[in-house]
Amino acid sequence: MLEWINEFISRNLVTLIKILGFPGLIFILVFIIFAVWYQRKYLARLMLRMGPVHAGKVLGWLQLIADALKLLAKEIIVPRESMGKIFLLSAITLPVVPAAAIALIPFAKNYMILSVKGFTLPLFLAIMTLYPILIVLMGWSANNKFTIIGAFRSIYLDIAGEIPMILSAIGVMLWAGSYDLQEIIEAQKSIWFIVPQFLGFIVFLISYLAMIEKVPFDIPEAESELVFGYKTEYTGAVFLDTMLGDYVNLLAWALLMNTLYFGGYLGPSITGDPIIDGSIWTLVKLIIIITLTFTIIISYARLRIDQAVRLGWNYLIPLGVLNIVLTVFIKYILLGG
Amino acid sequence: MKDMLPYRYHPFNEIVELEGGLFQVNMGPQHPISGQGRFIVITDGEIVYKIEMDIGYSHRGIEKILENRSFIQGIIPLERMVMLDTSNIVMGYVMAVEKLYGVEPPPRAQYIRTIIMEFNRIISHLYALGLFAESAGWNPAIFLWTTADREPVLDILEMITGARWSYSFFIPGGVRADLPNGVKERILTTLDYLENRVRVYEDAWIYNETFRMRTEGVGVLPRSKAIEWGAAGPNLRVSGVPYDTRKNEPYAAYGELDFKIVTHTAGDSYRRGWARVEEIKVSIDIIRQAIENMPEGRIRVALPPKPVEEEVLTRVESARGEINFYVYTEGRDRPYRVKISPASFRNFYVIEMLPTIQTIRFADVPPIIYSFDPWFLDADR
Amino acid sequence: MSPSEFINILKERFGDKILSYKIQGDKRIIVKIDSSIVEGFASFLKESGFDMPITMGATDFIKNKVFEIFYGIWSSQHDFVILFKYDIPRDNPRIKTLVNIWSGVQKFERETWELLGINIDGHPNLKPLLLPEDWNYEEEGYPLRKDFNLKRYIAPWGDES
Repeated sequence: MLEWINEFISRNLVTLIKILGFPGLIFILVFIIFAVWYQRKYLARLMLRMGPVHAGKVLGWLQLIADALKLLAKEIIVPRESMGKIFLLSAITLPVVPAAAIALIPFAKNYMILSVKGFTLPLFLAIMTLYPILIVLMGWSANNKFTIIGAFRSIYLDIAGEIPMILSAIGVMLWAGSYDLQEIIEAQKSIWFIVPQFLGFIVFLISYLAMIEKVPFDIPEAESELVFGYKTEYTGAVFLDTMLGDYVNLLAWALLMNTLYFGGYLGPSITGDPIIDGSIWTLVKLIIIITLTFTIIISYARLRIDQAVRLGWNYLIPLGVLNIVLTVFIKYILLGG
Repeated sequence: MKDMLPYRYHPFNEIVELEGGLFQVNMGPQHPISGQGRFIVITDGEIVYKIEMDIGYSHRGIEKILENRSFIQGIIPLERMVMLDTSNIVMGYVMAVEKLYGVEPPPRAQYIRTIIMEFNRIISHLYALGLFAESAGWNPAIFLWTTADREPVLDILEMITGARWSYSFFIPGGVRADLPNGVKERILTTLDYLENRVRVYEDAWIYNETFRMRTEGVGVLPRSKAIEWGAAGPNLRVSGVPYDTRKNEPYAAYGELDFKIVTHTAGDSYRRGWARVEEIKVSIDIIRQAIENMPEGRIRVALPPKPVEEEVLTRVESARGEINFYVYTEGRDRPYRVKISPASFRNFYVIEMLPTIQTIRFADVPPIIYSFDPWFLDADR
Repeated sequence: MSPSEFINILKERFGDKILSYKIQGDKRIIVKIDSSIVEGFASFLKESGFDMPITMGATDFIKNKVFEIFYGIWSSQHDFVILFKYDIPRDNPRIKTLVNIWSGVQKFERETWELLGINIDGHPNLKPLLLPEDWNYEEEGYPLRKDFNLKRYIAPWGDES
């Protein structure tokens, strides 16, 4: 038995590190702890506050862990009239979907969890479409008016956001001439795609904000209207899980934005080791993207659901199509492929 | 058992299905945005069919309390009506008492009162702006900025009156104390600071595209309806009725100062928020003039032993709009009847009536309500 | 139009049904009318441009055994307030609503119904507003009436002023 384990570990050491360590489970958890802490501190500074300062002395870094422990210690309340199993299962599954999509993202050259080649960008988008379904299950099963309104708003928003996002991804695929995430990154060696695909990037950025459901598109949560949207009824550890799902979702989309438009792991060499270099550049760009996201979060009011959907269908989708047409025209006719 | 309960006792998250597929959504009293009251929103999907303001959660019976106290004792419970805006509220009562006794406070007291009332209006408007931004789905950035900007004003009020809130500073016949040394310079620097901050709010908030999308053309209150339903304050003024008690029936030192009334004809949520920013500017202007023209002299006169008038109706422009006091006395040192008609009480009726003339979406309910700057404690008394 | 001009118009029109009046400053008329002409008086005010209700309530004159109802109406044309009052008997307090004339008095009338126990005929929405739904009027009475028993509500440590 022990030998078998030894053999398994030695044969699959790299895979295990990838799955459990970086860029797998531990990385995601640590990064989310960092992201939540960073969001709190950064937004607090913009709001003329201090943010957490007490737990952990230095910059309140322990506050988040304290909060998580507090939530874990709380009672998990399942509303009597809810569909208990679906109510709990959908929330527990929530972080898994974006985490599965992250497995496709290359953090350095040839360094991703799932070393598949080929249709990885369509696969990524396909996996991420499962996320709204879980949200509807969460909202529906809680059997509460605020949650169900939140869930339906989420569906409207995801439809309005996902199609433009896929259209802008098509633009990137056409420009790079590949479906593969790693090849897309490699194609950005001369110039990052944010420059030739700028129109597509604008479409992507707005639909990205819709997909992560933050202000100005936090319509499904809409604290001032719906209390907490589809998450209203969750308590304790399950609530923590839904929060986790939120941030893994943010991480997945931010990684995709980095991959498509900011050259992924590309960057000048620092240590000489391509895997460490690539990881460092990925993380640096990721933090910049997240800072941008948080800055947008603080600067805008929430749109109404009809305005958000109209924005998606009336402006983003035509712009996305226009971007595809321009890409084809420039890339394959002017530049000749 | 469940059916026997009146509808107020439904828990806030319970689905109450009405006839015709309508839903009753109870926003409050335990809802992030509701405050000390409840909005009963009857919706047909996202379309709002009816809004009902359920007030009275903090009814303290201030009218009855005033009946059982002498005029000067009544000031203290009266201040609890709107803690944000105490001096404007108290001014109406104090003015009523002065009219009943037939005394005119000395001009210096009037100017000091004007300064304090305008500072109160500024802090109240700042708070209202923060809540309005938050109800439109902002992260609480604007709310916290405005909260922070109230601090220097509160410091000045503390310097003048000795307390940050509820200073009981206005008494029949004048004010309790003269301006302390060095407060004028402090006031002027604070006004400069506030002027800069107002510009920041305009850039970050009033001209913000998403905010305009959310509030422009929403919750339009036409001029005729504003008058008919009795809207008050900036809400009335942006609907095209240039009524401001400070101008139309000058009290304190307003008659001697030169200022403009903020009016507009659009009457939508956006302009109601905009009007508050503009009114902060006007208030800054008024305080500057009052500081400049401050007369010397006494700050208080004694009241005669007995009231000379029997009844009086005074109107004062509080931050939320006109508040009026009907005071009837039988010649004793206490009122026989005080009727307070606060601005929020009238504005709540306007909010209730809005869905009858226009389609409102569920997501627009909080911004519309908070564009009227409602204050449940004000309406509850 | 100034208040004194308007009071002359009123006197001409309603004669001795105007029981008394006083003019305070240049922005107030306080006028007492006979309870029989309330509706005609109100619609005449509305026609003369008094369009915005600013206050409404009642005073309990327990010695005279009357309730005095008062309405304060502001005119956007003439820019002054008329406060008209009339007496109703205290043992059977019953008035007719003026909601159809001034929509804005709805909440004020509702409050008067609730706190003073004056029945308002034809009011569209008579529900408790400020008091709790389970307020027991028979036992606890109407708060703004003068015979309301305040002693019930004095805290054990408080004293009576």
